[in-house]
Amino acid sequence: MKKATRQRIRKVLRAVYYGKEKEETEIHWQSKVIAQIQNLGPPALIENYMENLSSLLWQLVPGTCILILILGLVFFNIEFIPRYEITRWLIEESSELSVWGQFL
Amino acid sequence: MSDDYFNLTDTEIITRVVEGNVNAFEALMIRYQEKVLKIVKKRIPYRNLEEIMQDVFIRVYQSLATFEGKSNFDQWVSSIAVRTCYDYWRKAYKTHELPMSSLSEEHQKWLRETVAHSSDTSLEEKIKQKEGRELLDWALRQMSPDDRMVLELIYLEGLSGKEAANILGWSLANVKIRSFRARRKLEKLLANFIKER
Repeated sequence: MKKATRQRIRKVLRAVYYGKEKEETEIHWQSKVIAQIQNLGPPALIENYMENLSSLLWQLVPGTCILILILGLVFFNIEFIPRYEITRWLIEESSELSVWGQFL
Repeated sequence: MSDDYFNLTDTEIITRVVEGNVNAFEALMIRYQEKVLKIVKKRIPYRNLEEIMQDVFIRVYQSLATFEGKSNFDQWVSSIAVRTCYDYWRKAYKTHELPMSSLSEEHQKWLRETVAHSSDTSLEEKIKQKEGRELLDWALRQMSPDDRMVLELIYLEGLSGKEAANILGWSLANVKIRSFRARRKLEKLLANFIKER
């Protein structure tokens, strides 16, 4: 495409684009915005609420880490202790059974 | 609403709103509604204007406490308006709400004739026709939301790369690369309908 054509296309498209600004509109949105912001409350409060929420979350971080660590250890141990316990119980139980068997 | 607010500066109104005088926001809204409407009208289909205007001013209100006064309030509001339009298009593309119409013979003819016209008076008449707007809407629909925004700001509105980068919150390099690619894509799209001698 020639440079002159490119420039001409741009000029036309820009004119069409800016023509949209001049179009008449009949829209009513202002009262809805006012009603909505009255429900929201002052913007500073919204801001403070978010700040408080984030500071609260940061305060919970150490506690959460400790909890995760404890739960991790618990789950790690749960994996092995019952097997060990069961094995021990079975050994003890079988010896008891054999002793009982001698009396029966 | 009290007329007192209209005599106050933007900063004074903002302070009052942030301090809890919610009704003072109306003065800011009235002061900037024309500017925002111009920005939104160029970018958003007529049927969604009302919804987007509401969104823009709610966003302005919610972010008011973060306005530090480093930039002009006018630019700050404009930037929120552009970004709201950008979010609208991203959502529209994601949910496939865009009509997949093709360019008709009338639109192609309109483009050929308008580009070929030499006098500015005939151009003025031509751009008022609905074909022009439909053609522009069609061409922009072929772009991704990112390309569309960059194309509107730089190619159509004539903003510098730096200004567009500030509005969109992107890096200058990203804006320049996108602008170049989007422009080439647009020219390629329209070149098919223009027969050069």
